Amino acid sequence: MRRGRWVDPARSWNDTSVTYCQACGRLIPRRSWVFEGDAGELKVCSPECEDLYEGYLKPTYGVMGKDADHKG
Amino acid sequence: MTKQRLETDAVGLHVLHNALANIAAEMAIVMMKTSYSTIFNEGLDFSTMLLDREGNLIAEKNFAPSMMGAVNYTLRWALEELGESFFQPGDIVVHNDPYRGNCHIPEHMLMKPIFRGEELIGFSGAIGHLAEVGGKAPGSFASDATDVYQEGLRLPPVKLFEGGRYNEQLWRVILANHRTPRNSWGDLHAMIGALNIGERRLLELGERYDLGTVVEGARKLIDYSERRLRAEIAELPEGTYPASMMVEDDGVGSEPFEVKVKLVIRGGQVIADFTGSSPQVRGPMNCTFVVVAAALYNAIFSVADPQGLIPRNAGCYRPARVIAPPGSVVNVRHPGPSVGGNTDLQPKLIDLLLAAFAQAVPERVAAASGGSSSNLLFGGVHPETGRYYSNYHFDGMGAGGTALKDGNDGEITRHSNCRNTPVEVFEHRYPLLTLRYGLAQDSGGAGKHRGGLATERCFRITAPEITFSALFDRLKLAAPGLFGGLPGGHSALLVRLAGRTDFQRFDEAFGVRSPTKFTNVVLHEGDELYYRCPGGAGFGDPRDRDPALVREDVREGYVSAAAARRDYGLDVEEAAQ
Repeated sequence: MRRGRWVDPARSWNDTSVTYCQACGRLIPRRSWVFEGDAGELKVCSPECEDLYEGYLKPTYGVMGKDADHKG
Repeated sequence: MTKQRLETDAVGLHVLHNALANIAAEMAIVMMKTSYSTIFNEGLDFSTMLLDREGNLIAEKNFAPSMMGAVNYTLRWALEELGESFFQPGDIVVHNDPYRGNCHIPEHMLMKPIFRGEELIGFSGAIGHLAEVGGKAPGSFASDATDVYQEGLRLPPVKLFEGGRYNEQLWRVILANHRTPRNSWGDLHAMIGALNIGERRLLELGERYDLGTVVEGARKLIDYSERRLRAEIAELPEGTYPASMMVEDDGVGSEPFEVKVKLVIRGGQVIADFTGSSPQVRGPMNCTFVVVAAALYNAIFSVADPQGLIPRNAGCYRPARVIAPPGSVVNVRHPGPSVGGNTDLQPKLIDLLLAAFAQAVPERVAAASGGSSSNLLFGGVHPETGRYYSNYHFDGMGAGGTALKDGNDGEITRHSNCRNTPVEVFEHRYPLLTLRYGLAQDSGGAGKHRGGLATERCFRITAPEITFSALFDRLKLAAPGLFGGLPGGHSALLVRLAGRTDFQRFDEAFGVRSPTKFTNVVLHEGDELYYRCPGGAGFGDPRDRDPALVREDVREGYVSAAAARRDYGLDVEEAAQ
């Protein structure tokens, strides 16, 4: 059962910062899928990446904190 | 036009797939026939495609599989970032930003929304490697670049055409920043011609059948491809298969770096986890995320659908998951350079992934390929025309041997499918005289199935001066063999200065740091350049090779008698007696 929700932050056209998925590492162009990852909220690119976290990353590497850059 | 009936059953979907794929192929022919640069009309370093209104690929003409990741992500990310309303009738959007879904700075994706009336029904797209996009070196391949700004002009998604009219301000910027603006003008218009043909044909298809049926059928085709590929993957032995490789240097430093992967096959899905790979390097050997994705798609298709029977569309990409830590060599962060990651790391990533697959399905993989596009860039003023020219040149490496056969000779990298530029065209367009062009003896790694031979070329400069840059790999670390096969041959790039009798390495002749990764070396009339690509590695123990094949290789000049004796234990002269 997925626990996340879409978050679509207001973003100005002249904001050139880049956000990466904390699960797979790909670009998050705008909205992100946010869910509780057991050690804090994680921001990922899609609901499928919540599955990737629960099904592969967490069992392989342990829980990730909310400030963790991608560690895989 | 009388509407024809199209059922979205198996037969109808097959008809629809062929119709869509033929549109993409016609788009590609338009590009090939109308472009100005040899990298398009001879090299075919581009792909064309149709996409649905969500940016999902529905058909492609995939001349360059290295672009598959960008094809899958670029438009979808642009739609996500900018919204569907950004794309209006008559617009054409260009995008080459490596941090937003593109492969590297030279690769330009053009996207045109297709409307019927006011309804957006999909997109036509073309992605291609423009031969010159500015930056510190002619040909836009700065092998010693330390940031993206030295690699050329970076364009986020912006409109080349708005409402069917030229966005002149943007064109002025582009043409002012490319060294060969006439070629860029011609090549971009070749891409635009392809988009227009794609638009026209898709609308015609919607007239011939019912447009709603076409759109629905395309969606079903995507689902069908996903089911087919998942079923093929489900046949592979499940498990976790690790592999790693060293890459010789990044173009700026001389230290090697490492790429690691854990390949996880389970539940009809493949996860390629690159966690633990080296941090992003200072030079341009970093990959973008989509380049790594393309490498994974390429490897999966090689193993799970080698004959290409499954319609290539967005469904084929769904069973593949990449995990690529940002800030590593497999996911470059701004402002890291990445031009060589696409051409010289991506083919090695495919080889690395195949080495991981080899643990699961050894009979379906190949040993490592030459793995370098062997990029040679040059430019100057042509003495006959007085015009500035620039060219991006590549040549053929050897492919790795497989369980079934020897590797292909002279293949322009396993991820690009590109063609060479014929000598006649080469000499007509550029002030270079080709002295020799052929396969390099002993460049294929020995094995039960031998690695493919690489090409070698020697040419003389016939203009007062030409500025050269290069980005080659496999000078120090050759393609590794598989299951007892031997490594492929190394690459080489040598110069014989006019008046000298011997060839020298570029670091010896010009004091550049790397003999095969350098920028802006000026050669003069009468200087000669020798260029050899890396060979493919062997598959299986060379002693298991059929002696008749070894003798034939020696007779053809592919293998020397000395190498036959050393690597295969066969004294060819003695055997002949």
